[in-house]
Amino acid sequence: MKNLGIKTRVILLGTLLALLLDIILAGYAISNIFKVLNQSLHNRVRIIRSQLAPAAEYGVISGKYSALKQMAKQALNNERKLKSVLITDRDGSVLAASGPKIPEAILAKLIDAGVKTCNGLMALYFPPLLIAA
Amino acid sequence: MPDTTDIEYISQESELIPQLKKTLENNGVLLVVPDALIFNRETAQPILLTTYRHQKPVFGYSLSYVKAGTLAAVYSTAKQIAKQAGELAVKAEQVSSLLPPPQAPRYFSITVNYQVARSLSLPILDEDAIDKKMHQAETSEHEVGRN
Repeated sequence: MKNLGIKTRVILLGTLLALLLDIILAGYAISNIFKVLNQSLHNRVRIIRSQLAPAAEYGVISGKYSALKQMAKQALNNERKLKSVLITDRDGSVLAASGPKIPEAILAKLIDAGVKTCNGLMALYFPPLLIAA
Repeated sequence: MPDTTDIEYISQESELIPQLKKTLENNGVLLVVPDALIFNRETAQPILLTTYRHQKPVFGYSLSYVKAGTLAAVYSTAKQIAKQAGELAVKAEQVSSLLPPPQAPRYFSITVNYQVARSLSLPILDEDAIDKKMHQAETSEHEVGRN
């Protein structure tokens, strides 16, 4: 460092500052993109839920589980990127489910979060929503 | 639960849900009656949803109604009606040739939709216990009638 001339030192300092600024900006941009993606994911889930919930109301209260299963299956077919649909009652017991079996680790997490299971079916959705890659 | 029955009339299907909402505010339960204008395939679901939102139970008159989402139904199966009819026919043959006047079913079944009971937070006895109680009440009513 001592052998470097003033010109080199200024260039080095400027480059380091620019690099630091670049890293900060890139970090901010990446985190922002993740935030926006996450937000759009949540919005999409909210829309799907707000469409499914009123439609499922009758089946949940009257105990027409076959209709609920059909509905969960249809929702999965309509939304290609959706991995799994679960309809639960207010206690969290699963009334209908569609999609592949949820991994044990995620199930354990859901049970820890207070979600019950019923007849070996899987439990409730929790954000972040599982979306197929 | 009130011990009186409110009867409301409607002249067209569009009046059904507003009138039902009004009726449910002042009544504890809704009884389904065999009236095709009020209870049919198209109206059954909106009626049941309206009663769920008012947290009021509905009693149907057939097993199909329980499956559709009423809390419970008391009904006679074809077998039960045939049994009573057979008994009446045998009795009429023995005593006189005249058949007795129309009468209420002596044999009946009760079915409860426990999912609806849970949804309405209503504690309900099991079907056998209700059946037993109803038949006991029927028997004592018959005895009072005879005395």
